[in-house]
Amino acid sequence: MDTLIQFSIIALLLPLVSFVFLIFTNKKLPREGDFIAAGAVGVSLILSLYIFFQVVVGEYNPDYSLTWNFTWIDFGDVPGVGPLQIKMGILIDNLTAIMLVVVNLISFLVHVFSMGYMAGDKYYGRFFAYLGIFTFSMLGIVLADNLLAIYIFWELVGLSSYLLIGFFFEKDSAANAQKKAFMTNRIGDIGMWLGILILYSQFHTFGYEEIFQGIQDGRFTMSEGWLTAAGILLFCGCIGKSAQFPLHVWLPDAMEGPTPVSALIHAATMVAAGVYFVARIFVLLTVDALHVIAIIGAFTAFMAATIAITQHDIKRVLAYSTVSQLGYMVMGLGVGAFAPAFFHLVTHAFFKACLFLGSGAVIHAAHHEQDMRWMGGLRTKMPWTFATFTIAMLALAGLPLTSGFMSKDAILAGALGFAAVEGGLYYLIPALGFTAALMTAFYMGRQMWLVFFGENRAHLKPEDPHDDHHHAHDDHHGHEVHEVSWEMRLPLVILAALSIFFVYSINPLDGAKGWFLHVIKTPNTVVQSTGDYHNHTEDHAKASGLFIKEAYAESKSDTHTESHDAEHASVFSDPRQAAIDHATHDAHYMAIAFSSIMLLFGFGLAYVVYFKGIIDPDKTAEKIKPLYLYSFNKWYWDEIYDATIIRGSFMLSNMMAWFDKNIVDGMVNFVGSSSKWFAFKNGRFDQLVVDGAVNFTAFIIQFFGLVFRKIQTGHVQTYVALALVAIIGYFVYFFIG
Amino acid sequence: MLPEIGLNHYLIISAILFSLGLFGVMTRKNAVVVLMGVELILNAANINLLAFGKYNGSMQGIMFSLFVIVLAAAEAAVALAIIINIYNTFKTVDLSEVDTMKE
Amino acid sequence: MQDLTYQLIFYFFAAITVISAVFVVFSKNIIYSAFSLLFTFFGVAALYVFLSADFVAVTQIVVYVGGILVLLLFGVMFTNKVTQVQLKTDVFNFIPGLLIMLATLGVILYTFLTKATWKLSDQHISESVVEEIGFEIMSTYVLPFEVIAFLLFAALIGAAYLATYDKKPTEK
Repeated sequence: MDTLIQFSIIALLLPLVSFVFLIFTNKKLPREGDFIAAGAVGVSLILSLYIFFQVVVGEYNPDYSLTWNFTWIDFGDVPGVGPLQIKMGILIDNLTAIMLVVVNLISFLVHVFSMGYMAGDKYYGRFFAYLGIFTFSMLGIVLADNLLAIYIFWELVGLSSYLLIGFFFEKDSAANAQKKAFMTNRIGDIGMWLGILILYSQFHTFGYEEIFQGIQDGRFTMSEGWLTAAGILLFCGCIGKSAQFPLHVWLPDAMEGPTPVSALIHAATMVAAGVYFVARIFVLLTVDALHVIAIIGAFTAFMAATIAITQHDIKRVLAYSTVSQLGYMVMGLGVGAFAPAFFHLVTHAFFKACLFLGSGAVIHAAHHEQDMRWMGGLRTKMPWTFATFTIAMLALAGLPLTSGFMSKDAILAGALGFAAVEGGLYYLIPALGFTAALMTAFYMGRQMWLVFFGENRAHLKPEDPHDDHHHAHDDHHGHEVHEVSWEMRLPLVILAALSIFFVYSINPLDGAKGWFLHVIKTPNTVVQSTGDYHNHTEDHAKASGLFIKEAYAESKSDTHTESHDAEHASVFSDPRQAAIDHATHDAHYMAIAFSSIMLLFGFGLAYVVYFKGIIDPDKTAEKIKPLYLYSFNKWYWDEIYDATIIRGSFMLSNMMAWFDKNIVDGMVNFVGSSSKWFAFKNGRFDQLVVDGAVNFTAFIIQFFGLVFRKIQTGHVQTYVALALVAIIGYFVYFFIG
Repeated sequence: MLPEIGLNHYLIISAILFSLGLFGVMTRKNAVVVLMGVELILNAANINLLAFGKYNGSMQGIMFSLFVIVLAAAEAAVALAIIINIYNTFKTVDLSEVDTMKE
Repeated sequence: MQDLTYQLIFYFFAAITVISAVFVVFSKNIIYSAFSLLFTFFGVAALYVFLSADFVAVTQIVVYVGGILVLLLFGVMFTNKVTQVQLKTDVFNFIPGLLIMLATLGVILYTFLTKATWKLSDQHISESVVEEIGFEIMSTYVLPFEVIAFLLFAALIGAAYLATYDKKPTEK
């Protein structure tokens, strides 16, 4: 076994060990064992860094991949199916290596942060145990080399998310949010499982490589539509986990969990697992499936951004921002901007974790006040938090010189390129993306100024008799806001540092020059072009792709066309992808320009509204009240679901119950009464004849029992005599009879 | 004239001894008498062995009967030890009262 | 070949054996049973002599009369209150036992006398076999001899252990 594989297995299992250990012993250990959890994740992080340097830095090869698997269950030769084996294994490539570091690093920093944030909690040790099982499951998703394994770990992260959202389970809202998240995720997971089963029915394997190879070899015997269906069903898992449009409703409610958990699970890693999974299965997605993905992603990005504008809760703003950014990533995958989407996943993981931890620090310092209206002026009181929060906020908004700028612009450029190739209505996708970018800048600016600038408005808060905060402080007005302790500051600083451009690329304007986009390349699709789709893309390919490719090939000496571009052109065997890629390249500067304009506009608006106060936000809200309420109430999605799906299922249940009661029960009752009549007649017969026979038999047995009981005297001599009787009988029979 | 003494005479004697021994084992209440019955049975067997040995012209019967005698000695010793233990436990050697196997 | 004296002596010993054996099992008094057993053993020993097994006959007297019978008498003394009239021993299942005994006897005799076909030889053992017993024990039967010696040894130790009184206080 390769050293890297061994290291990855150790890195995978360490958090699990910490979980098992802590869940049983946390109360008996000093500091409730937090150092064990942090230590396990820390060692895991070191191993991941080693793997990262070996794979990404050492190999520096986009095609690097290392697999190892073993037969987990061997069913032998199943009739009608053939040899049936289920394998488990580990796949390490650039995607995995980067994700390992991201997951472990953020997990480790969240452990450190939690030591300060969760200090004094009733279930302090249990919290760290839960973090352990979450880290284990997340690493499992990252390392898995087959669909079954990823599904298992998928459910495990669902479980740990459930446990952690409801960590303050004494609060009803936390318990409800917990249930909501779990059940919403189930819907997506069912789709994902169906998708896995479609693929399994064709190839009798769960392994990525075998499935991709099988599709490439044309062994997918069902029609193209089924492959699209499989892709969309698999994407359903992502919809659930990454909180995409129809199933996004759980993520904002999940903010009921402790803030470090929100940072780790509901901002940086678990919700990104959906995007990671789609990236894994990217090559088998058909064009139709990609279109669906792109539309859903763009719509989610736009919708969540509009909601985020009006929320008051500091964490809810960030939650909707997360949904919006995840929408960006999904849109990026959908439009074929594979590498930028994954890039955005990583950068977003860092700066969003930083934002959440920063908001956690603010909440902690402000004595569990989460409403931004009653904050303000924290800039001077919490300089560290302010500085790091600002950097991360700028990265999220996409200011140049930050990591978010590079990744987001790459996605937007990809969307523009996609629209250029597909044309027509597909221009809506980049349009939605840019609008969302504008709103992102606006709501982040709003949050910034509300929280850190101006006067402290804590005294303005109306007294709430129903204050059901978990850590209810009766007199939090009297307390002075203060900077948080070092173990909460350190993660903020590290994460903020990772949100700056030079970590990923020397050139702050073009991420494509950096190492990241060198090692992550869009893989070639394995879906063979057939039918309409073929013709469909052929046109585009002719129109833009092939033509441009040839043009580029001819003008290779052109200064503009560096070897990098030629690589891009030649990497793709798929003409559609090649076309998109070229259009993307052309759209690059346009995207930068657009998004910078959006950014400035958004920030400017926020500045004008919330800092200068030139436009009164409340009065404006009055003027556009319907729109404001629409956004404030989150597009009424909860109400819509309540009115349609939940009511619907209640109605259906009631109908079913009525049907059951009146028709099924009626039939059952008829059958029952006729049976009863028959049984009564039968009973007479039974009593007289059958019972008589039975009683007679019983009487006979009882009689013999009474007789034979006498024999069991316990006297050895009687037994000897009986044995002799038997022997005599035998002799008589044998010799005489 | 009386008939010549042959194998059958010995067999009849041994059969009678065997039956009497069995009767003793089956019916006597005193454990020591039961043990005597067992000795009778062993003697009956020995008579058979020697009779067959004589009329078969081989040494096996004689040798076997010697071993039987030795075994009988060992058996008697162990059986008496057991009887003494039964007496210590139940304060009687009346086998009709030793019926704990009933439960 | 066989003169009348020989036959009469045989019947005499046979009668002693059977009658004393009947007395052993039917006597109510254990001491009587034990002494009757003495006569049975003597009668059997005499029959052994008739069967050309004089060594076995002597062994019978030494082991049974000198050893086992004394052992049995000790057993009687140990387990019965001699001073009282408790030495009488009851019989239970008398009638069924008697019937089974007679049936067994009938079956055995019937089988022996009518059904069985014995494999007999013309070469009867007719003189003393003491010397041959010595040879056989030291050659053909040396292993059984050793084994039986060991068994006897073990049985005696076991019996001594079982009969030890101070093993445990059985009452209280």
